[in-house]
Amino acid sequence: MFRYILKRLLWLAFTLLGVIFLTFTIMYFLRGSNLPVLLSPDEPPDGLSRALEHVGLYGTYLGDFLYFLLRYVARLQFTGLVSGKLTDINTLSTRYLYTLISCLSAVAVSWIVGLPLGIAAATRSGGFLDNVVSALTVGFGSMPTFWVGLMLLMLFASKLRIVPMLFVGLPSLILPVVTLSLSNISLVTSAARSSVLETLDKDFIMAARAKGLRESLVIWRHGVRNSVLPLLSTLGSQLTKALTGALVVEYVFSIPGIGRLMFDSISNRDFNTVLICILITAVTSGAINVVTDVLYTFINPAVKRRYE
Amino acid sequence: MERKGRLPSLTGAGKPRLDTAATVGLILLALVVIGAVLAPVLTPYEYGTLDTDTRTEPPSWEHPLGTDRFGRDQLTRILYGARVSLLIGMLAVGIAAALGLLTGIAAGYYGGLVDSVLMRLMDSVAAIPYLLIATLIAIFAGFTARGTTIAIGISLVPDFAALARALVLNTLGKGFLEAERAFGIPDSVILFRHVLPNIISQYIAKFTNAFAEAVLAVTTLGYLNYAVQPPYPEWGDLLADGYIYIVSGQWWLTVFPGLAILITVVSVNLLGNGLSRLIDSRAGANGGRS
Amino acid sequence: MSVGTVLLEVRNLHVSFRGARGRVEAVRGVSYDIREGEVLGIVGESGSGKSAQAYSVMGLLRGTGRVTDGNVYFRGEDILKYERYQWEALRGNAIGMIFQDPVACLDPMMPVYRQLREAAMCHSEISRRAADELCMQMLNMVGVDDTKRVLRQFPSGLSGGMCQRIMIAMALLQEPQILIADEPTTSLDVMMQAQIILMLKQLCRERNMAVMFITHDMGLVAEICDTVCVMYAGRIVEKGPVLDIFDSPAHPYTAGLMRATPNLGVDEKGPMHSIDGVPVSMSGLPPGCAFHPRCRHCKDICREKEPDEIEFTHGRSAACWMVGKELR
Repeated sequence: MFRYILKRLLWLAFTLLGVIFLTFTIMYFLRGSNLPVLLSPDEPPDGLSRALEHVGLYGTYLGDFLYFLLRYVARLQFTGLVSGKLTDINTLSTRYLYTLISCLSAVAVSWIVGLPLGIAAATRSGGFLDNVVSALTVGFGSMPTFWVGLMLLMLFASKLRIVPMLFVGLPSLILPVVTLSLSNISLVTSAARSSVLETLDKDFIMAARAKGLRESLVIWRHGVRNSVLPLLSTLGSQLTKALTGALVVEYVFSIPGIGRLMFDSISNRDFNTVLICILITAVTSGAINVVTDVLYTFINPAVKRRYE
Repeated sequence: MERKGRLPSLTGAGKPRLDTAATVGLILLALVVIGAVLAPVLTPYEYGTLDTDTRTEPPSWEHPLGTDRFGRDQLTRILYGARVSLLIGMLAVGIAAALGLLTGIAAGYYGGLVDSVLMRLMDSVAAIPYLLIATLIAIFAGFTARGTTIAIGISLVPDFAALARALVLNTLGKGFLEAERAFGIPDSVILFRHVLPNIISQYIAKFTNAFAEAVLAVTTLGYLNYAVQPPYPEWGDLLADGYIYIVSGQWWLTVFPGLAILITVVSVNLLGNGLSRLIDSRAGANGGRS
Repeated sequence: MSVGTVLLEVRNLHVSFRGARGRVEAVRGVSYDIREGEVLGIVGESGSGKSAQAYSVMGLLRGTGRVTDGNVYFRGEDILKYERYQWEALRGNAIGMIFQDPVACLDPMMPVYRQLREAAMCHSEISRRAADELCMQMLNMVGVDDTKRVLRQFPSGLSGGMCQRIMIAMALLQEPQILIADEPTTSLDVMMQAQIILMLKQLCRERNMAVMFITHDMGLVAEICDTVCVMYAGRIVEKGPVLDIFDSPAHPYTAGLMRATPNLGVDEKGPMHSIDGVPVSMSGLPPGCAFHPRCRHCKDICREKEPDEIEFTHGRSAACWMVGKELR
C-alpha cells in the first residue's frame, strides 16, 4: 500500500519538477542569463550564490536553475520575481487561498447537490424528474462558465442587488462558487445517474432482492454504495476543471486570486509573474490529482487487496 | 433508456436510428455549420466594416441581430464567429483524437513499461488545465488561433488515450487473437482488422463530447482574449465586449452570442448522447445471453 | 422423505421479452406443481425458457420481461398479483433462490458476514448476535471450515465454490419452503460441482425442503431430482418421475438429451451422440411442433400442429404426437 503511495508521490515530484523546469527555462530565455537578475536588486549575494560560484556553476544555465529551485521554489518565496506591489508573500498566499476556496467549495457544493439528484433521477428512471434532470444537465453542461458568471452577476448584483458588485472579502465568493457549481453539478448528476443505473442492473442487486430485502434497502445499501466508488475516479478531473473555472471567474467577478493576478500580469506583459502563477496552479492541480488518486485506491476494496 | 432483456438468441437487430433528441441536435448543428460556411453569402456585410452612423442599434430589418458599438453588424459577426469556434474545435479534437489513438493503442498493445510510462505521462498532462497550457504557449508565440488550437488539443489527448487503451485491452482480452497469432497472422493485420473497427464506433461518441468541450474552451479563451485578435470575431470575445452594455440596456450584444454558443454546444451534446445510446443498443443486440 | 401438500402451482405461464422486432415469447404455456419435500428438475438447453419461468415465480424478471398470461399459486395464493410488499415477504422467506454466478451475486463492497447477517435478520426478529451465531453454524453446515476467516472476507477474495456455499448458506438461513437453484454448479469445476450437489441434496432432505433444480445436465437430474420437467422452446415437452423417464423417455428430445450425456466408466464404447440440427430461435419458431426439424420421428402432423401435453400414464405426460410409440 505504502509502496503505491510512494510511487505516486515520486511520479508527482517528477512531473512537478518537469513543470518547474519548463517554467524556469522559459523565464531564463526571456530574461537573459544573468544570475544577479534573479536576485532582488537590493539583496547582497548570499551563501547559495557563493557556493555556486565555488563549484563553478555561477552564471551557467544549470547554476541558475539550481539557484531558482533552492532559493525560490523550495522556500516558496517569490519575492523579487513577482512584480512591484505584490512582492509580499502574504498577498500571494491570500490570493492563492481565494482561488483554492472557490475551487474546492464549488466542487463540494456540486457533489452535495448533484449526487442526490443523480441518484433520484436514476431510481425514478424515465419519470418526470429524470427527464427534467437530464434536460437541465445538458443545458447547464453546455454553457461556458464565464457566461453563467456574467448572467448571474447581472441578475443578482446589478439588477436585484442582493450581492455586492465590488469585492468585499469572502462573501463576494458566493456568486463565483455558485457559478462554478452549476457547471460541475451537471457533470456529477449525469455521472451519478449513469453509475447508479449501471449498478442497479448488476446480478448482486437481483440477488439482494431475491433475499426478500426491502426495495429501499436494496437500492441504498447495495446499489448506491456501489455506485459512488466509480464516481470518485472522476473527482480528479472535476477539480482540474474547477481550478480552470476558478481562474476564469476571478476575471469575471474581479476576485483578487491567482487567476486575476495572472491575467493582469499578461496585460502588463509581466511574464515572470505569469509563469509563477502557472507554476503554482500546475503544482496545485498535480497535487490534487495525486491525492484523489490515492484516496480512490484506498477506498476501493478490490484494489486495496492487491497491495495488502 | 432501453435495456435488453434476457432473451435467448436475438436475431437481426433492427435498423439503428437516432432518437428525437439526437435528431434535433443533428439538425441544429447542421444549421450552425451551414451558417458558418455560407456566411459570406448570407449577409451583405463584412465582419469588420465599421459604420459610425449605426452604432449600437437594436435589432431591425437591416441588422437582424443589431449592431455593436462600432456599427458592425452582429449577425455577420456571429456567423463568422461560428467559423472560429467550429474550426478550432474541429482541429483541436482532431489532433487530440489522432494522438490519443496512437498513444492508447501503443500503451494497450505493448503493455508493460511502455504502458506505464505513457499512462503516467497522460496523467500528468491531464493534471494541467488547458488554460495554463494556452497561457504558456501564448507567452512563447503570442495570442493566436493556432496556439489556442494546440493548447485545447493537448488537453484533450489523455481522455482519448485512455479510451483507446481501454478498448484495445478489451479487444485483446478476447480469445480469438491468440488463435490468429497461432495461425501466424502478423500483429499489424490483427490490429487493423479487429482492434480498429471496435474502437471507431466508441471513438465517434467520444469525439462529439470532446468537440463540445473544445467549443466551450474556445469561447472561454476567446472571452479572455487569447484566441483571435480584433477585428476577427469570436463568440467569447463578442460577449466580453458586449457585457458592458448590459446595464445600459443593449441586451442584444450579450444574448445573441450567448445563444449561439448555447445552441451549438447543446446540439453537439444531444447528438453525442444519442450516438452513445445508439452504440450501446447495437452492442447489446450482439451479446445476448440465455 | 415426505411428499405432501402442493406448495407451488404454475398454470399456463407465458413470459415474453422485447426483441429487436417486437415481443418474443420465451415461455409458452408452462404448467407444473411442486410439492413439499419434492426435488423437481427443470432441464433444457440455453434458450429453452427454464430460467425465465423461474424468475417469474420470484417476480424477478429483468429488463423487458413480462408475464403475459397464466397464473402462479403459492399455497393457493395468486402471487403474480402481488404488491411489492408482498413480494418482499415471499422472497427468501417462502421461496429462496440461488444463482449461476455466485461471485457476481454477492455485493463486492460488503464483507461476507454482513451479507449473511442481512439474510438472517431479514425476515425474523432476532438480535445481531443471534444472527451471527446462526450464520457461523450455517457456514459450517455448508462445509466451510475456516468460518471466521471467510466471514471477514470480501467476495472478490473468494473462489467460486466458496461463494456458492455462501449463497446456499444465505438461502438456507431464511428457511424457505422452496429453494430455486438456477444452474448452481454450471460455473464450477467438476469436483466442486459434485461436493455442492451432494451437500445440497443432503441439506434439503434434512429440512424437507422442496427444490426447483434448473440445469442443462441430465446427469445432475439423475443425481438429485425426484421428478423432472424437460423444456424445449419455451414449453414442457415431457414431465414425470425421474426414474420412469430415464427408463423410457416418451419425447424424442428427452431421448436425445439422454443419449448425448456421456457416461464415463460405463462399458459402452461408441460414437458420441448429439441431437441433429441447431437449437431453435425463439423469434423464428417453425410451425407445428417446435422440435420437428430435428426429430427423426417427424410425421406430417408434427409439421402442422403443435402437440399439447398428454398425460399418457399416471404422473407422466409428454407433448408429442408419437406418445406411446417406442422411441429409442
